[in-house]
Amino acid sequence: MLEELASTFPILTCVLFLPVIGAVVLWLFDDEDMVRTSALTISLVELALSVFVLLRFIPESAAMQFSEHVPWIPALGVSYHLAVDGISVLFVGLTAFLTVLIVIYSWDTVRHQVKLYMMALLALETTTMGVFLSIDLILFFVFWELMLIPSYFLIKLWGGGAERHYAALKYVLYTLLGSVFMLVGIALLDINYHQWATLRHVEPTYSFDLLELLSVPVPLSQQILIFWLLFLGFAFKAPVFPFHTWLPDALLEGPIGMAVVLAGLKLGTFGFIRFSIPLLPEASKSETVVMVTMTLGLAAILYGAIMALIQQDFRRLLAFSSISHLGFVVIGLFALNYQGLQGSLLTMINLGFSTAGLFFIAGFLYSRQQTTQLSSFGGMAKQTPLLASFFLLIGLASIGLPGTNGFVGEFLILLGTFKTNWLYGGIAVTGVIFGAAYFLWYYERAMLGPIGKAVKDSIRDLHPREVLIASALSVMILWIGLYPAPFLKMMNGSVQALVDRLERGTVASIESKTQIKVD
Amino acid sequence: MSDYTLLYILFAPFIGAIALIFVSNRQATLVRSIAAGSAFVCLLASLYLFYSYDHVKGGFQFVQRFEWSRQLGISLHLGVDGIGTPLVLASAILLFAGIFVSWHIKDRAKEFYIWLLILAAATIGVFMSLDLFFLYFFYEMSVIPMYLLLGMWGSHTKKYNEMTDPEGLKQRDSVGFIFNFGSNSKEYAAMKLVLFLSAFAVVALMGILLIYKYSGLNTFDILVLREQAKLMNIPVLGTTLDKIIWLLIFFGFASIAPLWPLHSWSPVGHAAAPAATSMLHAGVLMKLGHFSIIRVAFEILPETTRELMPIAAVLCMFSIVYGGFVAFYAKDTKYVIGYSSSSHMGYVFLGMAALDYISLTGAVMYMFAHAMATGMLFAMAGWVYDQTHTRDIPSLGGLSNRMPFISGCFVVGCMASVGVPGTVNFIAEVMIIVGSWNKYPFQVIVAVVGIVLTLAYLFKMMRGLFYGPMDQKYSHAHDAVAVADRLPLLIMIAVSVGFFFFPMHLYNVVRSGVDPLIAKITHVVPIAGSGAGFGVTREVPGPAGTHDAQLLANNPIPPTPHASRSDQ
Repeated sequence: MLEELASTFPILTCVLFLPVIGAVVLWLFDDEDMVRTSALTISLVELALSVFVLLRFIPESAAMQFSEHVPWIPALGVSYHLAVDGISVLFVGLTAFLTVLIVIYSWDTVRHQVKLYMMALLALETTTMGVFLSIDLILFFVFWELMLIPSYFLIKLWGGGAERHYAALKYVLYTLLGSVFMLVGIALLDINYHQWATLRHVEPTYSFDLLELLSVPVPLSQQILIFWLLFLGFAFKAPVFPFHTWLPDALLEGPIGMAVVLAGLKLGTFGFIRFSIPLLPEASKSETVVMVTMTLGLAAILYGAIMALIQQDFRRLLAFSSISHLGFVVIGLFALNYQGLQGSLLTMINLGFSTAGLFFIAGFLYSRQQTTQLSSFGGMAKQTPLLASFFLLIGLASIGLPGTNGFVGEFLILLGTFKTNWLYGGIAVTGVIFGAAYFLWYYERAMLGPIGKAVKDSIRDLHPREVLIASALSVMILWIGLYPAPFLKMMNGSVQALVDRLERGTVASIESKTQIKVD
Repeated sequence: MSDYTLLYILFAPFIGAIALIFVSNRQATLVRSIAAGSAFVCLLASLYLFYSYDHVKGGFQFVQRFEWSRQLGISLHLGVDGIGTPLVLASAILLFAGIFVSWHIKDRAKEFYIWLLILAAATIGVFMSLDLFFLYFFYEMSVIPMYLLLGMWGSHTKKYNEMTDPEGLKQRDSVGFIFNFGSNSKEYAAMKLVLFLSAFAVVALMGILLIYKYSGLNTFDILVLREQAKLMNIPVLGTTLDKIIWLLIFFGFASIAPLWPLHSWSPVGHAAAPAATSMLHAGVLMKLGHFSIIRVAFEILPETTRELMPIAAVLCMFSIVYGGFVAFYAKDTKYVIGYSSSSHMGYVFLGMAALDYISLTGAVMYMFAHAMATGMLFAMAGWVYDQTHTRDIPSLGGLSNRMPFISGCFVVGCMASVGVPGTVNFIAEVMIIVGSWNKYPFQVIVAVVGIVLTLAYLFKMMRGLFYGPMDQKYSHAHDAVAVADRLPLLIMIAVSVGFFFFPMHLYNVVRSGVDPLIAKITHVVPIAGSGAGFGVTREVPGPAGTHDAQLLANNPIPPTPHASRSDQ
């Protein structure tokens, strides 16, 4: 009975809409503490639901699980189709996890318009979940665009920098610019499906459903065009070098909570692995695409690392380091083999713990010194040993110390890249060295050595709420670092299916099509 | 074999480190006893390992295997052979001694011990890894803690290049800090060390990944790769792939050894490091280089090793002579010992390059012996520094009156380092010299010159520190009186001297690891056209000559009926 209920229960819809319903409920409260408590409760329930999904998820399987399919605009072939597979399921958990931490972090760091802030945050969670859960491309696009609204207001209203209005607008415009191209790409996919479906008299004649789009062949020239259109959309969001210029502004000017979401949840590269690569395998394999993406990835690794090296502001450093890390993700993806894809996927998850974790650390520093400039730190390890220890652990994870999650992901990516082309791999490994350089150097200057002039005696170490955030992140970092098997298992099936798809391409479907013609 | 000895050795320090996280720094005694306790467990287990290693059977023993990722062919595969066993023991001894050497650390002792334990455990992890992934994992893990150990608890180097900015503070905010040669702050030393070593670790990683890629076996397991990997005769970039891989592996790992000209991080790092770190670093971390070359390059690419190992024979001369001369002129105690270490590592490369049973056995024994000798010297240099707050030899002197015990031990340390009879270093040195003579007589002569140089600079340093007139400002300096202070030195001296009188077990164990390796390298069918007549015509002692190479590779032969021929 219970089993049956569990199997028919629309859990993904709950996961998707719980935060936004919660946000509406928050509207009813006036008391700020009440608002905070309810926001925390909602995000915790959301986390529980996501953990439930993770636990009931069948690992080593390529199937779409927990699928919910309801027609939405049948005439256009748009449907409300939610599902998770090995590629997206971990992101669901990660989003819920990070949102809980952000709510905890914002407990006393957000002081004005708390209610609105929490509502925006929960709305942001829903749209982000939507991006990860949508199987229908239009649904995906809707959430992709909706995400901009809470993001815009979060940066504009609660940002700490003087340039926050500019940063918010820049972020929105850049993403919109990219998504226009993406929409054209999605439309082309649909048109291609339509032509094929009418030819074969298949119902429905229009579809934006990923699974149905996967079953039709796309001519190579068409694929390449669509690939680049989608690429622009995802690359602006990711952001892939050289489309990255909005990121440092948004991260520096926006509130820490927003920065955690932007740096921790890699929506852009998720788009590549969710849509571009499976839908357009021949294009992804084509020489130009691999060369361009690899070059951009490598450029991002080096550019990001070198820029990070010379930053004085910790949040700017993190912005460039996440550009550098994204370069790793991109080269792993376009190594187009099992290890590379798995490594990229794991690294995307990892960044949700390490880079996002470092943003929390930046937040802790910010709430103590009202800035993240290097000149306001120095020798803080003496007065804030806990802060320094967590800073170190999370930072070491971000530079890939063996035993932390960063190492596993980075190693897999390098392995995959080497399998494809050892020249690319050879360039990519230099990023590892730079990574060690910029983090250790900054850490040394900020935390070790003589106590800085701006560091007051009254500076406090982490309080329990902050310790809670940092330890939650540390546990995940060490867990994935020492025993990544459960996480890798969840991905295995889907990654393997993706590799098979890349090998076969859409050719199999094309063959069946010609058969029909002969008949 | 369900014997968990290796797990005890590997995880005792890790568990100690984890336990320390939950202890407050105010409970100083508890902190120290946890650290010492876990190191002691590690030491006991590695003594058991060393003495129960069956050298008649040889091969990899105490093997443990845990699947980590089947798809990627990675498993935590642990096992030791005759080469790894003594090095594990040396690491455990130095860790235990190092805990006591740093007994008086006041500043954040807990964190210091945590990182020291992690450093030692990672080092031990390399010595027992039979999986390339975990070999790299532990290797990289042993590099990064060095940054913190140096950056937090290290000391600035003074009077070196006459710096106007001894703390390096002016440089700290400019990028030049990272590449600024001549700066001498501990932060600079730490940065240089970590960047240098991770850069070369990455070079080795490229080699490892190339092996993985081209072997096509989808595994990182060394035992599988050495039997089945076919990496020969694949043309790449105008040469063959195996040569490229070999060079990547060799130079990647040789940087930590450190082989000239890749040594420049090492003396700076040693000088800045706290005593216990220097001990572990010079004692065992540097041996990671030689060990990894043996484990990866020798095992997986034996033919290429035979072809290319002369590179090491050439470079090791520079190591020996250059290191020796710099050590002679250096004025900082730790620079002297640091350069002497990098000079002595040249002997190990010579022993390895000769690819001879005796010389390679000697090289491995020398690694063990050198760990003890250099450990002693760094411990005592650390003691002198703690007492006088200087490492500047010209300003010191006459300390033997203040610290008779230390100065007595220092004599033993110097003797061990030089390789005077009475210490195991002597046996090892003689074996390297005798074993390499046939192939590299010129290098052997250089090595002997190196020994003379060692004698010169160590005795010069000893005279500078302990004899002659004493500056009155050092009259408050104390001798090591407490048991905890004397214990580490006594242990290392006992090991060093003990193995001189009873070397046979050490010899047999090492020999059992060396025999199949050399047999495989010198007996494989030479590649047509290149390197013919090289190592093939040479008569090889021992029963190995009668065996077929393939057979040898599969079944390591029981050594060593010719033990009576060893040079003592």
